[in-house]
Amino acid sequence: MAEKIIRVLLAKPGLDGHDRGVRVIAKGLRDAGMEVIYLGLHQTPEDIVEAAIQEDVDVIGLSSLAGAHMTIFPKVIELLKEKNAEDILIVGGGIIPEDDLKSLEDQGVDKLFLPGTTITEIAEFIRSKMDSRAA
Amino acid sequence: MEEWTFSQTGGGVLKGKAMNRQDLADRFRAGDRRAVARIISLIEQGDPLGTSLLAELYDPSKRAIRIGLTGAPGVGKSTLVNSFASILEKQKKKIGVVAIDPSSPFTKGAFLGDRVRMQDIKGTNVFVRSMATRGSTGGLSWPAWLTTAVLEAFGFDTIVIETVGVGQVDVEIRELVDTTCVVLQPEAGDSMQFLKAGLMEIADIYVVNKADKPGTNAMVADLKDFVKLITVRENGWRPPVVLTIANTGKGLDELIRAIDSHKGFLEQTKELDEKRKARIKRQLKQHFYEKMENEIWRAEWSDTLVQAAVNRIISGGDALKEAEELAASLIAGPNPV
Ligand SMILES: Nc1nc2c(ncn2[C@@H]2O[C@H](COP(=O)(O)OP(=O)(O)OP(=O)(O)O)[C@@H](O)[C@H]2O)c(=O)[nH]1
Ligand SMILES: [Mg+2]
Repeated sequence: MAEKIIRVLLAKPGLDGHDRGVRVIAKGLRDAGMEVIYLGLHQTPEDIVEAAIQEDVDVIGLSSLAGAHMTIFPKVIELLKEKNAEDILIVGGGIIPEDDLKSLEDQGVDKLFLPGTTITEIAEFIRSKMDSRAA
Repeated sequence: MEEWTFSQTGGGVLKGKAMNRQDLADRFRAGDRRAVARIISLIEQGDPLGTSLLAELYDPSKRAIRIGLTGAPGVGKSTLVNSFASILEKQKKKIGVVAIDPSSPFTKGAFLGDRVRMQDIKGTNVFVRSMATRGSTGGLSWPAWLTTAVLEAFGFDTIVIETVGVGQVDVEIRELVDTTCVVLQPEAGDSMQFLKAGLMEIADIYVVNKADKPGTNAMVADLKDFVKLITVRENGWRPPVVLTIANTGKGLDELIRAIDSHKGFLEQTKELDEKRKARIKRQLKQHFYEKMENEIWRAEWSDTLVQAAVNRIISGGDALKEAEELAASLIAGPNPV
């Protein structure tokens, strides 16, 4: 039997137009043996959730630098719940203030990575979460 | 009734919920997109539940037009899929897309980036699945074959398959689809490249994309010369040359007309049925290969035989004779009478 390969959806919601950071993460996760489905810039929560369902991903990773995180993350979580798919792991990254961090994790974001986190840490986090689920 | 829980096969949209096989089949029949997505994942992971569900859900009355887009990396295949599918979507067609990108032979990871170019097809009548080659060659993967069948069974009327960016010898796509579009771009070469065997031989339609770029006219002239030279394919079809600018949608109407007339041709000559038969045959053969691989070649009993043969050859045995005898014993199975 072929093995299970972790599938990760990466997107950059919001209005700002830089995706270099996401591309670096995409390459890092690819090199960590994952299949990274990249959606691109300016994705709405609806786009993200629909793509996550079509692609049957294990993880959604959102990068948010433009301060839209307090609206986008909760909306994605709400839509996933609506579709009965809240078991997809949600991680995020970007410049996120301390207070928001706590609030988002309370609302169901599995992990937010602050600037300076290494790709290895991110990959290890994802892998350990997947392993504990498969067990 | 067998119970299957997805918590064992690992991640995915429905993994937390212990869904049984019947539930998944019912949801699929009811048009639940998550059920399609999940069956594709099972197939991709080599879970026998996936193929067995496909067999159950297969419905010979549901037939999709299968269109393949192939060509070198970056020629604009995904951008073409985007414009093509958005036109069809407006015609109320249901479109399934399988977009393949390469897996790393080193880490098995992949960057699946085709969706980035498909920003205009987010409606509910389109379903896009990105797949990695996962070790197969030829521009496709075996799960991509089965995924196409899953989408067909789900009721998509048009299925578009985008291969990985291919090289000259990757021609497997022509077996999977009804109409193969070979996508080229200006300055991809001249008459010398066109004469080379392989990719250039499989086109039912040649698409010269990026027709806004310099060099288009010269290349199209060369290409048309070449098409005249090959006159017609063995079946009587003369592949047209269509110019497109995928990111503006220019030429897409003509491409759609060319695809339609190829379909008309296939129906008229009964080749559509022949293609379907060949496909089923190919699928049976692949199934046989996989069974041989998993149940014979990788089995412990056969490994013992293989090792013994290796040792005899190393110490001077007749290699061909050993190979023949080994093959016969493998075919005879673990407990020959
Ligand atoms: N000028 C011009 N650029 C185009 C055209 N079609 C696509 N492109 C651009 O070409 C680049 C590659 O396009 P893709 O659609 O990703 O090409 P692809 O063949 O799918 O690439 P792979 O999947 O990596 O093999 C993108 O930057 C597109 O915007 C066109 O008709 N004209
Ligand atoms: Mg592409």
